[in-house]
Formats: sequence, structure tokens, C-alpha cells
Amino acid sequence: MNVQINQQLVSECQELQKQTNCDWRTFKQAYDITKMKSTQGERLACLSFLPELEPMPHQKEAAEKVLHEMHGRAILADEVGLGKTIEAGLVLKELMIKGLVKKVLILTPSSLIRQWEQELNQKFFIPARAKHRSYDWTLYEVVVTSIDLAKKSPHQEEILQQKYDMLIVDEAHRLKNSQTKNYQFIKKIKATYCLLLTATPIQNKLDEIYNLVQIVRPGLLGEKKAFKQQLKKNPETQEAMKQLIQTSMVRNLRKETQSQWTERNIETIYAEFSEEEQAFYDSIHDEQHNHPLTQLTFKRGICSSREACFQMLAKNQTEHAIDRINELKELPHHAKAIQTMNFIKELGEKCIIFTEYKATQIYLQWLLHQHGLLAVTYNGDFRKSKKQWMLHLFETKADVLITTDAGAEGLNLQHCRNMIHYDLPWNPMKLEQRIGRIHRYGQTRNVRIFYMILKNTVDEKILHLLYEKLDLFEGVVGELDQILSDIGVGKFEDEMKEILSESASDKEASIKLDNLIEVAKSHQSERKAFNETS
Amino acid sequence: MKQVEIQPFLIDFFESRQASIVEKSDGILTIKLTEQLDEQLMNRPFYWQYVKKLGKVGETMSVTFITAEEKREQVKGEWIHFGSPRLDQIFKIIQQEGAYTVLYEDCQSNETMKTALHPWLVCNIRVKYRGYQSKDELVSVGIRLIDGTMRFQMMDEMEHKNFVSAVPNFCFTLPKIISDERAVERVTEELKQRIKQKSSDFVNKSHKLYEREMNMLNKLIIDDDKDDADHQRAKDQIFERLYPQVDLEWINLGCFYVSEQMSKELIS
Repeated sequence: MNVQINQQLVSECQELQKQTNCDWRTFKQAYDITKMKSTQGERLACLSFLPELEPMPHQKEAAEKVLHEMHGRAILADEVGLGKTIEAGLVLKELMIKGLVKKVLILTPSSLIRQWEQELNQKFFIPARAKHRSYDWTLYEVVVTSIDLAKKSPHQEEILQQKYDMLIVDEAHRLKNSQTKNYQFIKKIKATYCLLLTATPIQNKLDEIYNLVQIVRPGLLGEKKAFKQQLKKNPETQEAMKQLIQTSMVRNLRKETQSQWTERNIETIYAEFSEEEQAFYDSIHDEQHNHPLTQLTFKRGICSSREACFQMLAKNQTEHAIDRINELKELPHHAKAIQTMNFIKELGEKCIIFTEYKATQIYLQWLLHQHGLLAVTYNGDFRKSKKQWMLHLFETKADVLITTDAGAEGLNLQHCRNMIHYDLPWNPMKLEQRIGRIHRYGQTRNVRIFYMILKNTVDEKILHLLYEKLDLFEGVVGELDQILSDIGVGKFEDEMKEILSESASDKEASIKLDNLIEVAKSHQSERKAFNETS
Repeated sequence: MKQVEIQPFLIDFFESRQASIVEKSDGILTIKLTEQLDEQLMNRPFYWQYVKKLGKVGETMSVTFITAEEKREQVKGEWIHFGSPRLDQIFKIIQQEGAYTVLYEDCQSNETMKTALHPWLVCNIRVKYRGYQSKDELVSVGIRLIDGTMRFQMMDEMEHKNFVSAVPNFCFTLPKIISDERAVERVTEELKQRIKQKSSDFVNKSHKLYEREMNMLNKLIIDDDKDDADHQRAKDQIFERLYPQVDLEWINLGCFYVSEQMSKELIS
């Protein structure tokens, strides 16, 4: 086998000899500095510069892989909470030490700007600055900002004029659609090295990953039209494709790194509707709806709070809806909310509550406050400064943080170890995302997860049919979405809703789900066998 | 080197270049630069050009370097850490200045016991592997310019010796029999041999991956697109990334005259 050796040592040696002689110490130092900056074998040079940092083995490996095998252009797709920021920081630091990177642009959702700035400065001694309107893009070498700000005029034009050494995009699953302005903007940014961070590339179908790969390794997967045609024509290509994608993607799963994690205890807390509430719930059940999904939506609403249900009804101004609203007004305080409040009092520790409805958020906050518990809310509509203030309050003063899924993306909340799922999400990936806020790199205590379930309602159905079957207690949902999209079941969430709403009986729903899971499982073992042989 | 070692390193760097220390405390260091250092570090060529044209003496700058994290808020100055551009700049100055030398072993001799110094050429070379993974290897080879004997890990052998820039008293140098160019050629040949011998695993793995990706790429391309520019670019990219290549680069080069005794030790 051939190896190409490139050298011009003799002619370069004549150039060197024209220089002034240096002293012995300088000669030695010059050698030592080069040694220090070189990657010796597969070790990271930056670790000796970061004596305080103790990255976990999978983080080191990921950084090494990106640096040595992917040449600094990669998709970091670890499951949530495994420390992708640490991995990105290691890669960045290593390249900076070697003098390969100076100018860096980091794009994150606006709620995470501060977190990035702090981590890079404190953990990595990288002088990152959040972009502020009072200064120019070129003033600092390492700039953190949000895509939303960066893509606006005149910022967009200024950024596109720069040549960056490195571009980092956090929560990059937002870029899966190549038609969006965000995508087209990112693709135009000039950068030698590039990292895309995402916890959920597998929610995307193959052609969505294609778009991410197009950013890190343009041209690798061929032209889009050809790519799509090829995929249709020839299933064998899919495998080739996946292998190719793996050459630019790092993905660690929690279960593979499990030994170093604190434990995760899961407990279900039951509440029971009062008679009036149960009667209201049953009456929804008996109603005729144009679409079975509508009924399910209302049921989910009343299982959360009167307020959530009210918001849904208020949208359609039919006579029937107005009657319903009047009935709602007569209902007592929500049984699940009361149960939750009592539970938190007993718990006596800080906790995070996840709900799907903003109306429920406000109701819970009010209720907790009435009973002497200080709760702060958090959701995607808040401005950046308000979000930061809320997080600060939660860390320093408040007992409870009540948040929605959209708001909590990417947050590090490992100072808290209790989480209550007030409403269960349809999509188990979302649950993993939620738990990842506290059960993550840096958590020192065992975490406690609580499901709040109303007996004899759709809550209980979701819990039994979906969660228990999928064995979520082990925290192994990771590959599920990919498996399901591989076998062409489409979006998992929609599939679930359909099964639950269209089945005549629980029995039927249960059987349908069993089928779905069987298919997924057999596919998973095939995948496993394939991965082991490859 | 750790963060706390940066300050001593800076003091050493500036003192040995005749800059004066204005203030020194825990984590804070203020230096009055010399003209040469000002030109090298402060990036103000127009100022110096202007001053020199007028035939005046320029005013050099004073700089404060902060090396302790907690002092950053208290003092105005530059925060120096690994990866900071300033430290990199200083490293580069050392690397540039330390690129070449001629030195003599500092040995004690007297009138009755004159010492002969043997010429050695010390070649410090960075070997960069590029292929399925990229890695560096530093080699330090000494070659005796009398008979061509080579010694690897040369810098480690010389580490604790002292060398000076003029021939010490009562010492004399033996003439080179082999020219520097010829010596570098011989070292290069030897290195190439060694690389070929020991990199077979690296080369095989790289070739395998290279071929695999090329095959996969070909599967993905529809026939009529084969000579497409995109396709060519993808092929070039795979070649650049995976085809096994090794680059040899100079770190530094020096002609060292060493005592007969050390010369013997080096050969044994």
C-alpha cells in the first residue's frame, strides 16, 4: 500500500540557515512549544491546559473523533444531557491552542446565549462574548449570538462578509428544512471548521439529516435531486447513505455511558377527579365530535386544568361551547393540581413541573402561591432577559419552576433533582428531553421523576399503553423515532394519537400498540446485528 | 504548562529580551516593552514608520498582563490564558527566533587539557499524518557530521547540558566532513524508511476507508451526473481527507559542537 510523503526539508533547511543564531534556551523552548501544541498520538493537547476540567470518557472520545477523524466538521448528536457543549468546547479549545482557530461564531437559541458565554469563559478560558448592539461583529473574536438576531439585516450582510475559522450551531435540528431562511443563511456562512449540535437528529427522516450533512460536508451526499431519486430506486443505497452519514456524526447514547450516571428513580403519583369533574369528563366522552382527535384534545385539556380546557373552548364561539364554559365555571379546584401541591409540600425540595399548557402554568403558579409556595414560570414566549431572571430566581429563591417543553430546550438545571410531569407528552422523545434538563452531566445526586396521573382518564391510558409498554423506565427511547421512521410509520406522535383516538376500546388500542412495538423491536435487533458486524 | 505557570513564563520571556518589569504581583504583570518587542507585539507599524522617518526616538508601550482569573474585574489589562491570541503571538516569536542556531557545549577545559568539539546537526521535525485520522509525531534526530552516525531522541539527550554561542576557552572545533545539506538528505531518507515501516496499519486503515467512501459515493451518483463538478469536488474532498499522506515539516535546526565524551555517549 502506498503512502504519500510530502517534504522539502533540504531546500527549507537552506532558508532556516539564513536566520540569526538563537541561544540554547530559545532553541529548547521553540521545540517544547511545538510539542505542547501537537496532538501526540490520539491524546488531546488542550487537556493539559484545562487542569480543572474533568471531561467524561465519552466526551473526550467524541472530541478526539471530531478532531482526528472528522477534521473538525461534524454533527454532534449525543442524547440530551450528555454534555455536547463540553465536547464542542474541547474541540474549539484544541483548535485554538494549535493556532488553527481564532475567529469563531456561535449561534444558539437566545435563551442559551448566556449559558454558552459562561461555560466557555469559566470552563475553557475561551473569551467568548455575547453580541450586543453597542458593538460591531468584528470587535471580539469569539462571538455568541442567536440565529434570529444574526439573520436580520444589516447583521446578516456583515456576518456573510466575514471569514470565520469556526462556526458552531446549537440546537441545529431547527435547520432540518432547507427551505427556511435560517438554513439558507447558515449555509452561506464561511467557516473552515463547523460543528452542528443537536440532540434529536433522528426525529428527522433521512432527507432531513441530508440537509445537516450538506452544511458540515457539502457535496458528500451528492446533489439533492439525485439523492432523492437514488433513495427511492434502491434501498441498498440507504445503508450506504447511513454509513456515509456516520463518517461525520458522533452520537453517544445514555445507556452506553450509563455506569457514570447517578440513578434515575421514577414514581407514579395518582389523583382522582372529584364527582363533578368526573361527570364533566364523562360528558366529553359521550359527546359526538366531527373528528375523534378533537374529543381527545378536550379530554387532555380537562385532565390538566379548567383553564386549559377553557382556552380550547373559548376558540369556537358556538352555543354549545358557551354552555360548556358555564359548566366549567362551576367546577371546584382541579384535583390533580391539589394533589400536586400537597405532594410538593411533602417533598420539601426544589422541583420542576412540566406542563403542556400555558393556562395550566398560570393556574398552578397561582394555586401554589395561595399555599405559601413560591413558583416561577418559564416558557418560550418570554424575552431573553425575563428567562434569565426566572432561572436566577429558581436557583436562588423559588421552590418551583413551572415550564413548558418549548421553553426548557437546552437548559442546564442540574442544581435541582426533582421533576414532576404534570402532563405526559405524546412523544416519548420529549420526555427524554425533559428529564435531560436535570439528569445530565454535572448532576451529583440521584434524580427523582414523578408522573402525575388522574385515575380513569386519558392520563392513565397514555401511561399504561404507551409509557409502560415502551419500558421508558429504563430510559431507552433513544433510537425509537429513527426505527419508526425507517420502517415508514411516519411521525411517532401522530401515530400514537391516531391509535388512541380511533380505537373503539382500550383492548384494541393496546393490541395496535403491541404490534407497533413488536415491529420496532425486531427492527432494532436487526440494526444491532448490523452495527455489530460493520 | 498550567495557568499559574504563565506568569513566570512571561517574566522570563520579557526579561531575556531586555524589557523592564514595572509591576509584578500575584496574577498581574506590567511590562515596559523594548522597541523591538513593541514592533513585534503591538501591531502599530505606521507609528514606527513615522517615528523613524522623523529620526526621533519612539515611546514604547507598557502592557499589563493578567494571569489570574479573579483579578480580571479589578485591573485593566490583557487576560492571558492558553488559546489567547497574545500568548500565541509570543509562542510564535519564540518559534521563529528558535528556528536555527550554532552552539557549543559549555565544557570546562584548561591550557594543558584542550577539548576537541565534534559537530552534530540536530534536526527537529514534525511528522504530520493525514488519513483515517490526523495525528502529529515529533522527531528529533542528531547526525554526526564526521561519519553520518544518527541518534534519535536527540533533544532528550541534550536536555540537561548547557550550550553557549561562542567557542569556550581552550576548546577547538573539528571540521565537518559531511555537508549540512547532505546530512539533511540522509536524515530524510532514514525517516521515510521508518515511516513506511511503522505506518502500515495507518496506511491500510486509511486506504480501506478511502475506498469504501469512494464506492459509496459512486453508488449515490446517477450515471449522467458522473462528470459533474459537484461529484469531482466530493471525490477531491474524500482524497484530501482519507488518502494516507505524511507531511514533514521543520521545527528547528541547529549545529551543535559537543565534547568528545558526549559525542561518544550519543553513539553508544
